[in-house]
Formats: sequence, structure tokens, C-alpha cells
Amino acid sequence: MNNSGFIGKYGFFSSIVVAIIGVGIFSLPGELAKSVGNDGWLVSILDGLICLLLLYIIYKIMSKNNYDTFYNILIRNFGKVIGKIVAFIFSIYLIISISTGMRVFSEVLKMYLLEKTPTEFITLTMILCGYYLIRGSLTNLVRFNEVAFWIMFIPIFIVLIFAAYDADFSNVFPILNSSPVNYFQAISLSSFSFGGIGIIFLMLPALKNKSDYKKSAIMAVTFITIFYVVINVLCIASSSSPQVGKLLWPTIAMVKSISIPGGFIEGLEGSVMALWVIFYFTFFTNGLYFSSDLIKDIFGLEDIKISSYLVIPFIYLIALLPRDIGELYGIIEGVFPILFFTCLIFFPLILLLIIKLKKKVAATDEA
Amino acid sequence: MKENINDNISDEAQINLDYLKELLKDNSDIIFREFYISNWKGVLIYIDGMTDKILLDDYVLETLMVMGDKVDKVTDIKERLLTVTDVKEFSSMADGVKYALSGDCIIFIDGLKVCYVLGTRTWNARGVTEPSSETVVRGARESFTETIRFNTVLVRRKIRDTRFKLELKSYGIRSKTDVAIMYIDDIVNKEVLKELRARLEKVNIDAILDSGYIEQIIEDNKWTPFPQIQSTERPDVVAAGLYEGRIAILVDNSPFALIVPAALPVFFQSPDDYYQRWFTSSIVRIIRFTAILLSLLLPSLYIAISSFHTEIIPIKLAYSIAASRVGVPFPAFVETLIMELSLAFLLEAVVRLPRPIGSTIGIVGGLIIGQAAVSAGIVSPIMIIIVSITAITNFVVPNYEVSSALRVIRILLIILSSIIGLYGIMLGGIIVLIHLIKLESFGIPYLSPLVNPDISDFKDLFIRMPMCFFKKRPVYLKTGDKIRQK
Repeated sequence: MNNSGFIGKYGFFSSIVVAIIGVGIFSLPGELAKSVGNDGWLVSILDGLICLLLLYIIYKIMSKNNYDTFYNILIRNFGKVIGKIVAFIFSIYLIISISTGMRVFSEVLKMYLLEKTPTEFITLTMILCGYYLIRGSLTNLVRFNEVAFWIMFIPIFIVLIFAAYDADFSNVFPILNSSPVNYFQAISLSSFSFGGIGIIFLMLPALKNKSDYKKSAIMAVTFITIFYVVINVLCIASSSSPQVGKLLWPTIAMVKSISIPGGFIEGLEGSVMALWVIFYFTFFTNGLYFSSDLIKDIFGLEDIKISSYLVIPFIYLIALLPRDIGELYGIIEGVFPILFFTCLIFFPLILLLIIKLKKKVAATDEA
Repeated sequence: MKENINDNISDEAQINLDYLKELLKDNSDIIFREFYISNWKGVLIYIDGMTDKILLDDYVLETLMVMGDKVDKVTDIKERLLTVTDVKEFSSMADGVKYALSGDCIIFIDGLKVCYVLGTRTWNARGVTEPSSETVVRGARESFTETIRFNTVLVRRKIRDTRFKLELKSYGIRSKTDVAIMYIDDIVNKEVLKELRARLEKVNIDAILDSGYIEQIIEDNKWTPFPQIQSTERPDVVAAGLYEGRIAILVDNSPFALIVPAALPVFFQSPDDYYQRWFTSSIVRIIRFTAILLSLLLPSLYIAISSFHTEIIPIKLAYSIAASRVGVPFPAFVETLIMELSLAFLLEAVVRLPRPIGSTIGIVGGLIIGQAAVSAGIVSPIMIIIVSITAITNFVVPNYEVSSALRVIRILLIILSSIIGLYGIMLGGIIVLIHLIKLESFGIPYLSPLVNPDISDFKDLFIRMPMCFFKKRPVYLKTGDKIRQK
């Protein structure tokens, strides 16, 4: 039914990577160190494996439905009313994830880059920029992801090399020191960092050669996993895990501790912070596009520009809702894992079940 | 607006003559010559100054008037008596008059319902000189002139393929300017060709004075500072573009040719990148890109770091910047704007002044005014350094329109950085990136090959790989024939 497509292999790969890696990297090492001590990197690998499983489930769902858009698949399998409710919950999940990310981003920016600027201003400017990109079609979003990938990852790997220079890797040992319950807890806590995987529902129908999906998606998830593992290991290597567990944003502390001998730049975290603007921006715009797209289909609006007018005020409100960082992380750690499991594990599994049942019914009908 | 010309050609030369004398009256440079070819009356009309009179005297009038009795029928005159190579036959008066006003000569003969147009155009043209704006270190030093026929020859000498096509049409209702489209048939992207033809159909203006008129009418997006069509004075750039599958447009009376489609990398390439060895060219390319980044970011980074984020730079540098800014009454942002403005005034003045005064103003403006401003305490010395580096790096870009666009972006980044520092610079960069991503040139995304990338296109973007790697034509142009060499 839907055989038009324009996203190439690299576009798909870069879109998934930049849509998932957002502000999660700041707090991820700290959260993991609190639960599992030195094994944060193991948990990241486990997260990656779970994502690979999710990739397979999503692939099955989409291919059995002829690569139709996500909304149409929900309507077809759940019926109109429940389909709309499910889509609505999905877009609420996206909106909450980008709004809380927005608040984390503004707090980080205020603390390390612009101390006197009001949060409202930072939020507003970011939303306006994101809206400018959303006004174009999906083509422009994917093109932006393709270019942003290079701008994001080449400088960050240079910075990470400098971080590795000073690090003491013996801090990572001993490994496998915590009980299995802690690992499960850690996986649910780190769901914030992998939450953007739902973007595949948006991108897969627009992929040019559907056979490219396997290779590109697996490479994307592998890349993200390796990135998170490297960040975890470097954070723990720079400052051992009890210390990392106490810090709010250990990644930034690690960058702060980098000193380039004979280097020109003293406070590296100021410049790397500017880089992190793009990390959050891509996470924000991809999430905003997907949620506006769903809202447009749910309410039958004509254009994504109109539906984003509806979404944007909620993002602004939710971003400014928590009173301080404590409340913010309370929301993230409390609400988010539930939403993640519902939207990205529960709903797809039910969808898969319904599709399998439909097939069985169709087969028995024919027989 | 359209002219009112009676289209019929009468078979009596006298009637045609009277009609044209009435139509073209009050023109003292149009010559009407009546003569007899044995028994048939003939009329010759041409414009004094635009026509080769020697050809007319020796080869047309002499043969027709003296040898007129060698033919029996009037229809044989063209094939047996008219000893001129370039003869066209028209049955429409309007066409004939157009050619007469272009410098050709038209002949009406009793008994013929057509007019003959002889190709006799000649005038004083500027010789082929060095290009004024695209000078190269190594490479040809020819540039286009104002006559379209000489320009097409300059390109033809570089392409001797039977698949090279040249289509000529007139645009402009009053100017009837000749516009030529050139392309190589089996390489060109047929979609772009179709789109170009459709856009040229829509040209409905009274006069086309320069290729810039055509460029502004057919471009994709007029609300952007970035040019979407490449304009060049050099025939070798045009030929290279044709070999890549692009289409060139030559406009009469204009020494600048247009090449479509154009993507951003094209504006950062210079012809001698390809004539020199790959090593030199790659270094020059890298210097060019670094220069562009510097020219965009340097003033805004200075404002952001000195006003908002002083902890980024080493303490010694921070102290020395602060020391140099003692006594300067303006904040960094106002200082920068003052210097940007004076730079813009200076550059505009240098372009318009006659040559000897122009270079003097450069020295006066740059050194003396800058030094005087520092002594008067209006700007700090470090600002002078920043503005000079910015000015020099701005003109490393080989294309003038793109460097003007970069100036606009630089001012945007300066304003944003003065409001919210480094975050403002990042947001400004993101906004510019989004704008560039949305641009297209005749269906090709403007930021190709960064967008929809193909690994082979990177051989020619930030560096220039050796010639043996140039096996395929640029993939982002979606050409017909994809292989350049084996």
C-alpha cells in the first residue's frame, strides 16, 4: 500500500542514532552506578540487546502490515476507538519524554553555560528552532539528521579521546558485583536513554529499500550501545563508581576534569555544552515531529504545522512544571519507565499478537 | 506590449518596402536599397554599423545586379545567384524584421512571398581577455565576452562531441535577447532539463539585459541570501559543468554564463583545484573551509567569550583581552558592529571607485583609520585583529555571491551571540543549517553531497582525491552516463 520511500541507508542509520541519544547521557552513568556499581556498561549492553529484540518486533509488525504508517496500523489492528487511544498514549509518551528532556537540558545549560538566563527563555528559543525544522516535511528532518550526525559525533569522539588520556581504567574492576534484581532495576532506570527507539515506527514506512532495514537498524543500535558503553566506562574510569553515583551529571564532571596539556581551551565543558545543544535538538525535533504527526492523524487535522501548535504549549508547560531538579528526576525515574514499558514493549507485543491471531483467523476462514 | 506587425509578405517588393519604411520610420541608421535583378525589383534593408557592408557590396549586390540574367526563374535566385553561405528563408514579416534589427540584412524580391535573411552581423566587440573575478594560478585565462556567438565558440572548442547540443531561443518581448541552452545529451539529467525548459517558458518580461535577469526569474527560492544558480565568466568552468551533466545558459550581451543545477560545494570550488596536483589542491580546499568557519564564527565567538563565558579561555588570555579593552566605552557587541559596518562601507567603496583611487582607499581605510580608531579609544586593538582576519577569510571563498551571503550570516550570529552567548551561536548555526537543508536547486538538494550521501562524492568535497579516483560523475546530480573513466 505504501511503496514510496526516500530515506536511504545512511539517513535511516543517522536518524535513529541522533533521535535516541539526547540528554540521557548526562545522568545515565550516575543512575547506573547507584544501582549496579561498576557494571553500568554491562547494563548498557543488555539495554542494546533488548533494543535489538524491539527492532525485530517492530520489523515484524510493519512488514506484516505492508509498511503502512504507524497510525494506520494501529487503527487497522485495534479498531478506530482503541487505536486512537493507543496513538494518543504513544504521543503523550513522546511529549513527556521531550519535555522532561527539555527541562534537563535547560538546567544543564543554566548551570554550566548561561547562569543568569531564565529557563523560560531557553525553552522558548529551543521550541521555536525546533518548530522551524518541523515545518518542512519528513525529508527535511531526515536531511538534518544526516548532517547533524557528523557535527555531533566527530567532536565528541575527539573529546572522549582526551578523556581517555587521563582516565584510570582499573576503576572499572571488579565487575559483576551486584545482585540480579539490581540489574533489572538498572535496566528500567536506563530506559530514558533508549526511549527514542519508537522513531523507527516513523522512519520505516519511508525507507527507500525495505531490505536495508536490517543492516542499518542493527548498526544504529550497535553504535548507540557502544557510545553509551564508552561514556559509562570513561565516567567510572575518571572518577570511581561511588563518586559517580553521587554526582547528578557525571558526564559533565568527566568533561570538566579533562585537561589538555598545552591546550588553548581551559574550561572544556563550556564548549562541549554548546555541542550538546545539537544532541538535544535532534532528540527534540524527531520526537516533536512524530508526536505532531500522530496528533494530526488522531484529530484529523490537515497539516503538521497545525498539530504542532497544539503540542508545543504542552511541551512548554510540562518543561516548566517541576519546581527543581529533584522533582524533575522524580518524574523521570517514576513515570518514565512505566510509559516506556507500556508504549514500547506492551503495545507492540499486543499488536504482534493481534496480527498473529488475524492471520490464524484468515487461514481458518480460507480452510 | 507585443508589437503590431502585419505578418504577410507581399510578392511585390515595393509594397513590402513601403510597409517597412512606415514601420521603421524615424530611424536614420536603417538603409533601404532598391535594385533590379534583371527584370525583378529587389529591396535590401539593413542597419548601418551592425552589418558587414563589404559582404553586401561585393558578394550580394554585385552578383545580383550584374549576373541577374543567368537565372530564368525568380525562385532560382537563392540557390544559383546568392553567393552568401548563411541564407535563411522566412515567410513571416515579423521574423524577418527581428533579424534585420539584429544586424542581418533582409531582401525582398518581386514574385517571392518570402524574404531572405543574410547573416551579415558584425560589430566592434571586446576581445577575449582575462576574467575579472575568477582568476586562477594555473589554467586558461579566457573569459566570455558580450557576443553570444563568440561565447558559444569558446565552449565548443572544449567539447567536440556529437552529443553536445546547443538550442537558441529569444526571450524578452522588446529586447528579443538570444538565450542559448547547452548540454551533453547522454550525460545530462533529463528531469532538470525538463524543469529548466518549463521555467524558461514562463519568462515574460520586456527586456533581458543580463544573465542576472534570467537567473532571478528562474531560481527556486528568492527569499534566501544563497545563490542557487552558478554564474561564471570562464568557458572551462562551463565545459566542466557540462561534462558533469549540468546545463549551461548563455545570454547575449552578458559575459556571465549560468550553470544549473548548483549545490553548495560548487561555490567552494575553484577551477585551478583541478589543474594543480591533488596534494596542493587538497591543502587549499582545507584552508578554504577553515577560512569560512573562521570568518563566520570569529566575531561572534569573541563577543560570546568576552561577555558571557570568560572561563573558557586561559586566564592569561582573558587578562590580556581585558587589558586591551580598558578605556573602550562600548561593549564588545557594539564594537563589533561598528567594525563590521565600516568594513562593509569600505568594501563597497573600493568596488565602485576607479582603479588607482581604489587601492589607495584600501590602504587608507585599513591601516590608518583602524589605527586612528584604536588611538582614539573607540575600538580595542584585538577587535582590529579580529575584523582583519574576518575580512581576509571572507574573501577566500571563490564566489562573490556566497561570500555576501556569509556576511549576512555573520551578522546574524553576532546578534545572537550578544543575546545568549555560545548557545546563541549554536542556535544560529542550527537555524542556518535548517535553512540550507530546505533549499533545493532544480530538484537537487542544496547541501548535496552531505545530504543523501554517496561515499564516492566525498572525493571532491573537503579535499581533492587524485585523478584516478574520479571514475564516476557526481552521484548527487543523477546524470545519464555515470562513468567518466575506467
